[in-house]
Amino acid sequence: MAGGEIAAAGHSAAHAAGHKAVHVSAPEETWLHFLYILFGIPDWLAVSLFVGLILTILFWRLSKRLSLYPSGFQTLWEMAVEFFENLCRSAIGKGGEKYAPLIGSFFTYILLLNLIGLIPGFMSPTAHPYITIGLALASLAIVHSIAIKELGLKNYLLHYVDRPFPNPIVNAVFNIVTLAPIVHLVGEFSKLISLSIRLFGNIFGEDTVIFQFASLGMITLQMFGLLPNPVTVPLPFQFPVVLLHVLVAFIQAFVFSSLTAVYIALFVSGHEEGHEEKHAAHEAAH
Amino acid sequence: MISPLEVLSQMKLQWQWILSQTVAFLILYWLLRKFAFAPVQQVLREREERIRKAIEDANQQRVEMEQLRAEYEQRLAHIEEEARARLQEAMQQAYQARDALLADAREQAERILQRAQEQIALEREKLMVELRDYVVDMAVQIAEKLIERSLERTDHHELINDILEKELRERSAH
Repeated sequence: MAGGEIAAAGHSAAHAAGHKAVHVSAPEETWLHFLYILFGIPDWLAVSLFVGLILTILFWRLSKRLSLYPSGFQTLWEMAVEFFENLCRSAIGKGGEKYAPLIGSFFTYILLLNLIGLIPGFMSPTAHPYITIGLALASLAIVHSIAIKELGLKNYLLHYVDRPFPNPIVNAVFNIVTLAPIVHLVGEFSKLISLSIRLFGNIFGEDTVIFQFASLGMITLQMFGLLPNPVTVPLPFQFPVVLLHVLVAFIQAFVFSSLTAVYIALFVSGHEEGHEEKHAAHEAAH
Repeated sequence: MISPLEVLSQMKLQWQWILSQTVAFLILYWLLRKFAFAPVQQVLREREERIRKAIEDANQQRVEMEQLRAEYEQRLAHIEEEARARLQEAMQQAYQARDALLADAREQAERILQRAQEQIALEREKLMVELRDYVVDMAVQIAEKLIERSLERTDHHELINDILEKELRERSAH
């Protein structure tokens, strides 16, 4: 959210200072800015909805012409689906394939949200905290509803207390003394924070670096006195960072979706091994 | 202690935007599940099933083929053996026939030879008889002539030769 403030500060500074604008982050005006003017829908939300629309149309068309003998995009998408199924199976265990649509949706959607910022005139919506918090919220909502559905409400609530002793009264006292339920709740909340801030920070950082390098490329020749005007024979300084951005886009989409799979596994698998895995997953994520 | 919600509100988060993204994703998840995952997963399962079936069929067919091949090989070996046996038999028969023919021919030749020798002997005997008759005849005639003419002792030989020559010439003229 600090990033958001910086971005907002950058914006207001740009408006306030006029020609002496100092952008810290990439500008947030896209080709879908007319939606903001007409309906007040912010650009990042418009772009994310636009990506969702593209995905829906793409896969709707794919679903119309699926065949047993795949070709073109179907081949690629089948490989992706099998990849998601393997990911779920390795994270959740046997029978985990049924969560592949969820994990796959997160991966595909976030990947495209990350990558669309590379198209001139668009921005990465995942560089905006609202989008990532919204996605993390959706992830956790689905994870918890899966947990309630799989475990039943009683077992789901028992997940929030520790029961190291055989005696239930001793366990109750233990929970009150150690504040274990509150710790668990904070743990769940921290999942939200870690999912959203990780994604937001990475993409926002990449976008900002690309913007800065592009700006540097734009003023370099003028700085050395090679051009009389401050505009603009841009040198592609940002190009290596763009390549890095592609890599980071894949990695972050993968991290987000596989962490969602791990969160499902924490609930659906046994409690004892669940805690071990939780720590391991958090270690791995950071 | 401030609640997390208060912290968030101090950060000037606008909840409607966050929730709009959440809802947007939930809808997208539903759509993708329906269009992108369910059909493709079904196709994958179908193809898996089909491939498994094809491989099973192929395996079964291979086993059948191998059985058939073993059977044919056995039969082929049998046929070869039989052919060899038949050939041997035929050769045996041929040898036998040849031997029989040879023996027959030899026997016949011997018979012919024997008959020829017998005939020759017979002819000779006949000839001898004829010759004796002739000689006797000639001697008788010579004797007749000798007796017919009274000649001197000195001319005796000359006369006999003379007559003999004449007689011979006569006879050869016959």
